[in-house]
Amino acid sequence: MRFHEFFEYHRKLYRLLRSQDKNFLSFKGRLHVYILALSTVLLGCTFFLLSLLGALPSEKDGIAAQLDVLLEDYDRRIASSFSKLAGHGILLSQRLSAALEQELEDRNASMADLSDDPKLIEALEERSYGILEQTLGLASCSGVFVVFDATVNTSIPDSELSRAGVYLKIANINNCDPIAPILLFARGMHEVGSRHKHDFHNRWELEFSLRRLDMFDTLKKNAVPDLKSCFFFSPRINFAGTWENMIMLGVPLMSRKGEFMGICGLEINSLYFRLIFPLESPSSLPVTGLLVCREGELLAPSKGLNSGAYADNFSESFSESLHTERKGALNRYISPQECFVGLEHEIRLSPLDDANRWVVALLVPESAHIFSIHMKYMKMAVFGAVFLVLSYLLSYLISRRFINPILERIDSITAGKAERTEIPEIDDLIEYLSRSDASAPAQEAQADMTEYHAFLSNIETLSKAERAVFNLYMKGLSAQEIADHLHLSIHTVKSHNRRIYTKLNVSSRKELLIFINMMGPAERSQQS
Amino acid sequence: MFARFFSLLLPVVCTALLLSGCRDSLLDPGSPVRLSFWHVYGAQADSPMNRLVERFNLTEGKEKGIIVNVTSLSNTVAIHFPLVAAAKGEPGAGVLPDIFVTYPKTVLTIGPERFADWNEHISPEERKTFVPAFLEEGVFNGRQVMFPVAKSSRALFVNATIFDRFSAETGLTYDDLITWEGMFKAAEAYHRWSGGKAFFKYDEWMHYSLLNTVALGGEFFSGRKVNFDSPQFASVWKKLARAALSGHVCMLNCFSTAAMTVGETLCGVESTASILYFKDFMTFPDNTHLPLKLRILPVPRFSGAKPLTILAGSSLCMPKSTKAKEYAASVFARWLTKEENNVPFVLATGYLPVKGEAFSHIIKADSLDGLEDKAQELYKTVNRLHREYSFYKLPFFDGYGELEKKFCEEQMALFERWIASHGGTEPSEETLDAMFREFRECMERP
Repeated sequence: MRFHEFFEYHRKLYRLLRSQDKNFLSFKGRLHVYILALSTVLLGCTFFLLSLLGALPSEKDGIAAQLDVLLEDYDRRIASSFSKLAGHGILLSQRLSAALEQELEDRNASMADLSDDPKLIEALEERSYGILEQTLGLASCSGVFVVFDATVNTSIPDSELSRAGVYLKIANINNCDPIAPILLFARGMHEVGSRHKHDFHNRWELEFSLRRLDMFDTLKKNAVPDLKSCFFFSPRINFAGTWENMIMLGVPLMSRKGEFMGICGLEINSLYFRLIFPLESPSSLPVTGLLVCREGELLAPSKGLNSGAYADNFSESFSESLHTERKGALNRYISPQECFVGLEHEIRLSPLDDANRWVVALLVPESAHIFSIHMKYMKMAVFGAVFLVLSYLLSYLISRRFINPILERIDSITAGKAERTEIPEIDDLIEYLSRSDASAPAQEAQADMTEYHAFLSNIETLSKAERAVFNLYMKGLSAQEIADHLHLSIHTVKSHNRRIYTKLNVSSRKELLIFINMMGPAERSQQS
Repeated sequence: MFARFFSLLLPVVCTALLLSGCRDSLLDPGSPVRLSFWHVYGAQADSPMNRLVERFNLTEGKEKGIIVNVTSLSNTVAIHFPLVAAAKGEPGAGVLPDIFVTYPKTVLTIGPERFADWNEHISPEERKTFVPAFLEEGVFNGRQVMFPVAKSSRALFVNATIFDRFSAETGLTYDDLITWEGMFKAAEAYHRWSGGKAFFKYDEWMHYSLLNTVALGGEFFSGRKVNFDSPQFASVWKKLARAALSGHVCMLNCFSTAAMTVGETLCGVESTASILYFKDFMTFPDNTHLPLKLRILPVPRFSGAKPLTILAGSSLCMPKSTKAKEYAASVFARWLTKEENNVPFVLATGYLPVKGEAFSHIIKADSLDGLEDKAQELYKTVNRLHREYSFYKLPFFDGYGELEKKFCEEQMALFERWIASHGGTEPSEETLDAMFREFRECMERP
């Protein structure tokens, strides 16, 4: 296919469509327009069906629905896990309380004797050690601790903020042996740690600082023998001098007489939280899951833990609280650095949650959300454009394939070659025309002289190119011979023909030839 | 007809593909590639690497569509075993992370052929900007299997808060700690002065024997085995054994930093990167505290030995994975080693940068303004090591990791058995000869 033909054809088609002149619309053009129209309708129907099936991007049916399902699962997993953790904490408290009370009884001492008695503190730490170790092996946590309501030295400054106890942590949480995890001795008396041959944590300290353990006072104030009603999950705490952030469960240690002995509990650090609550978004959007505290309209990532995308230090990156805007299907969470969209559920972790309102939330960066929707629209647009272009090409090719044989037969008929074809309708036409040719002389005679004079006068209106074609018709050349003679394509000659017919007011080549035959030699020489 | 049809279709399809794919072909910011990452920078301390990862995720990672998730923090000793277990598919071991940092011994144990080649993503021009020796250490069978991020050396860290008191009372000074002969003398004195405490600890016991044997002109390895026929090795080992059996050496199975922090020992030979793990104060049994002052010296050497020090440090590896993950890992590695990211990181962690220009500046200790006192002290020592010592590259080979583990475990077990039965009395020369023979038998036992 030559490109100039291709463009010529479409230029004409465009002009035809623009002119709205139906008389100019050839078979090929009509078929082309019909197929194109059919394709466009099909495309429209496809989009309509897609929108009915929910495959078109929309905020309501897309991400919000996905996040809702994801949040339900995330919420359920966290609630279940923290509930089990609380169970382990209560059991730990009961076992430790009994063991410590027994140790004090054996030594004929009481909790009041504990402060400033390193030997007694060491004995209680030693007694607690095995129970803590067992709990660490059973519970799904990254550390376990016991804090006594006593300190080894009351004479040093700030001794009221220092409490003795033992703190064991799992080393290398992702690679630990589940049966015999490698433990780190993070708090406690040096002799106790050495005796058990666990590595000392690099940030080991002799005692706990209550500055970093607010829950000690909270639990002391609320301590009652019914432990189910007085355990507590602290908002996020940083393990001093390390990257480790954690949520800690605290349970009071109560003697049989109802005396407060201290607290014990378990920790879930940020890395462990990420590992046990993985989050994979089905849509590949970077979703971050959070267990955080809500303060009015503010969500406080710095008081919770998170998992999923951007899990590494998400809370540090967005240390300022996220202001919440509740509009539409998704909430907006706004920080000075970035905006997120997402959903949240409130969750009750412990009976002392009044101070902290916990929520489980799923957040997606707003930019990623918008980008994702834009990408979907872009894909739909590309699909539509490709579909239309292909339809256009197909309609062009189909119209050529089916109309060209018909046009070729018509050309052969006009050239006087009444050959039979493989198209029955054309053969019928040839037969009909042959019969009509027999009565042609009579028709010539009957030609209206008035029309003949109009014909003669209209010859003046032909353009130079049309005149050249007309002159060759007068010499008796066929359309193909004229094309060869003038070095034109047959299509160009046909194009001239149509304009000649229009200007001379004839409806066919046959009528044209009748008028030419009526012209005398003088008229012919005058016209040529 | 069809040829013409397709000649028209082709440009249309190409245009459509261009319209839909106007971005980095392997990465998509709308659907980020996630890389799990195990590293060793700050396991029980603050982690500058975690902060670096966070910054990457919020900048270049976000722009290109990469999220790096740190899923394990450990140390260079501990990381080897879970990686090997994961590579072997041992029960409960989990899967290998997408990227991790480790020593060459881990790569050799797992098999270098299981790792992707960084050279597919790092151009020759980029390679020229690195210290050549650091790149060479990670080449296996012509493939760049390990990519350097930070390198370290070894130093003697002394608890100056206690040593200064000890020095004032015994007359021993830091100059005595230049040689091993002085160290053993000081260890004996400290044992008496402190009422039976150990004086020093060495983080990697095989390195003590290896480095000192080589520094004295001996051969530590014979093929892939320890050369027990080396008189230099026998000599340095017996000297250590005498001190250890007499209770002068800390035998705890932990890093020197931890042993020093809790007062188990006064000094330790460890990686320059240990500086990250030291607290700023010491805690005593009565819960009182004192500021911890550190003095950092070159690792001691025996009289007449060549001045050698180890230049080591783990490198970044990526097991073979999808093209997108491998490409994403290379983007992350390139970002990590950019000077503006790499230099603050190494200065915060006691490492050395891996690119030539930055390495020259830091090793000359001419850009230390603004650093903490202990970091300044460290890099002055590194400068001294650079001027007076030769850097020694550890001879990693297939089976090195297992050999090193066995060496340390058998040596420790031997010393502990003797101490348990003899109560820390000083051993005779015959006893040391017998122990050396027993150690050899243990090591040669399959």
